[in-house]
Amino acid sequence: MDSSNNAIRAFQGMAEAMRAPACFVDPQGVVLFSNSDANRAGVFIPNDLIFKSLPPHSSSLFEKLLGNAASTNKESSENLRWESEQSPLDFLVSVTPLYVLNRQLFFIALHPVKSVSAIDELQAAPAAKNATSEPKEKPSPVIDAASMIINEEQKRIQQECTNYLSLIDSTKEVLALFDLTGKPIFINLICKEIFGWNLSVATIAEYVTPTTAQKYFKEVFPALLKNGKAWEGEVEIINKNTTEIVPVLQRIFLILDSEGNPIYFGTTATDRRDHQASERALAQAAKMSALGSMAGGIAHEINNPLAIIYGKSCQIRKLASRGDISPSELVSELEKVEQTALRISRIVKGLRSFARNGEQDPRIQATLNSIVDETLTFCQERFRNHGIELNVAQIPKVAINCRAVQISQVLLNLLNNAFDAVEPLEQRWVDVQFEQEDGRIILSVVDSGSGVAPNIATRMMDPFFTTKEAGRGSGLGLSIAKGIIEEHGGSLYYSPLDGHTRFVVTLPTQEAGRKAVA
Amino acid sequence: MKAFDGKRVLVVDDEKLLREILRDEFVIHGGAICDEASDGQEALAMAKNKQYDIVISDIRMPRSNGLQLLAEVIKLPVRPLFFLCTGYSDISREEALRKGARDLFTKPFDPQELVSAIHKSVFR
Repeated sequence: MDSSNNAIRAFQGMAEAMRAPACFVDPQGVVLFSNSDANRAGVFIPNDLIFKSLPPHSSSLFEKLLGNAASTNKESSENLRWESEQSPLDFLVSVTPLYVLNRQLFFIALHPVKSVSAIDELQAAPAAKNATSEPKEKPSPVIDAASMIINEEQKRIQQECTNYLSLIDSTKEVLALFDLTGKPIFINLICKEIFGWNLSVATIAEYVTPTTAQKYFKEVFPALLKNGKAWEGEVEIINKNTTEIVPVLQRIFLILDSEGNPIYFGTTATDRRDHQASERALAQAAKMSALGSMAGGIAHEINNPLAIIYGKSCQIRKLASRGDISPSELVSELEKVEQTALRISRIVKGLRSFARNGEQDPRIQATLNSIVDETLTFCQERFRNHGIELNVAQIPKVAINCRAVQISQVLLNLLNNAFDAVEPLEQRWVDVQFEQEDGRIILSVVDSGSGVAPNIATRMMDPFFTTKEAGRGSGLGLSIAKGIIEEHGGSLYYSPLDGHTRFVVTLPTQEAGRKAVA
Repeated sequence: MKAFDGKRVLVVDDEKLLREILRDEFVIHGGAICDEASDGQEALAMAKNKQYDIVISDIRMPRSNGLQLLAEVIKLPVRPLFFLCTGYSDISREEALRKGARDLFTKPFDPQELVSAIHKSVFR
């Protein structure tokens, strides 16, 4: 009978978990099991009738509640007043019908409902009347137990509140409640200590930028009260300690009372500065991953000139040791070695500047020519080695005020994407085209692919969206590229050309030649 | 009498100076007759047109690469001895031999040693 034992144990456990006197009774009202709170209070004595340990008038109440619970098969409850000398003591009696192993049982609990202080008073004064008609000097065991239970209940609630508060205070998130007029009524420790907020202000508007306050009162609060749907967005709050403006990702939601009416706005907000730092780290990682995918091409790019330098040196040494080479021949051969060594040096220099995080670089006037050339150093070998035609149109002589490494990163990203797209195709070419419009340069990377499917086109600029096989793309390339170009006052978009895939970058230009850095 | 006296050699590489190094070695020191091609497609056209004794080819090149060239060259009625030379670990020596190459060399190399290795292989 393991299962029935388990069921009984489960119900006993449930009764023990109640922080009030509770018991199970059969349909006749005979107590089958009572919990330890009931035992301490001296009520619900096993094998006795349920009301025997309670005031005499309670028998009719139990009869009624048991009858209701049995006929409706729902919980039934009512207040039970226990008269005492000073003031009455009230309990809420609840009776819940249930079936244990096909037997009808009732679960009964006795919840004290009076305020704790009233019970304390009662406890101080001896109970006048009680069911067991014990001497007046001695308090009723029920009252005694009830007050003890209430004290314990209060302690438990206090402890739980302390637990929750310490949790709320240990988080790095802003947690706050404000009423429907926007007045803060609760703020956690981070609001107080880090942001220097307090509860004395009239509305939360004092702790956010004017734009954010306007957003709250004009958009967020009215919409929330209308549709009840939590709002999430990026806003700016003010650190009153440092007067610093802090970007946060905030969530605002409604807190409802038991009838479902809104009573407070609750909010959580996460400091975005950490997030922005990790976005920067991700951008760098994406760049290194782009670099990694080209490492093979770069190795080849370096190994070929190295083979020339080594081969030529071997030949020159042997010829010279036999006296078989004239000074003019020697000079001519050494010039070739020198030029080839410089080729390697250019690659290494380009790699170094590309791998460096260009985000903190000051903006400089860089010629479009130098940016495109530097980028091509890394990837044209890869295109050539895989038999992909890379056609670069004549580069207009314009300068861009930019962080050159970042623009180079964007171009490289577009070229790498084009490479991956056309590699499996029969027709394999990538064109880089330029167009000049007043005050801006339009750079297009067109490939022989047949465009991007509409369902992908709408999502491809999203962070972490990738169509590449696992491990090949981080899904960050395009989203980061778009961010970089927009930060430079330009735009990056997809616009197919004659049925082929085309990505377009526009950037504001400066007059070329004016302090341009090549 | 030089090592490759009268032998017809085709050197295939997209690097002009590497072709120059090999040509000097084969012609000046080996006495061979040497032609050059800068990619697989150009080399195949030449190999179809003229009978070569030896082809030494890079692997990674624009248009048609060295392995594609090898696959075509071994179909020719008179097959030249084909040597691959790569700056990259595209293929193992065993695989190169299986595909019909006589040998596989890696860059960088001492030109004299490379040519004498080819000589050994040709006149073994």
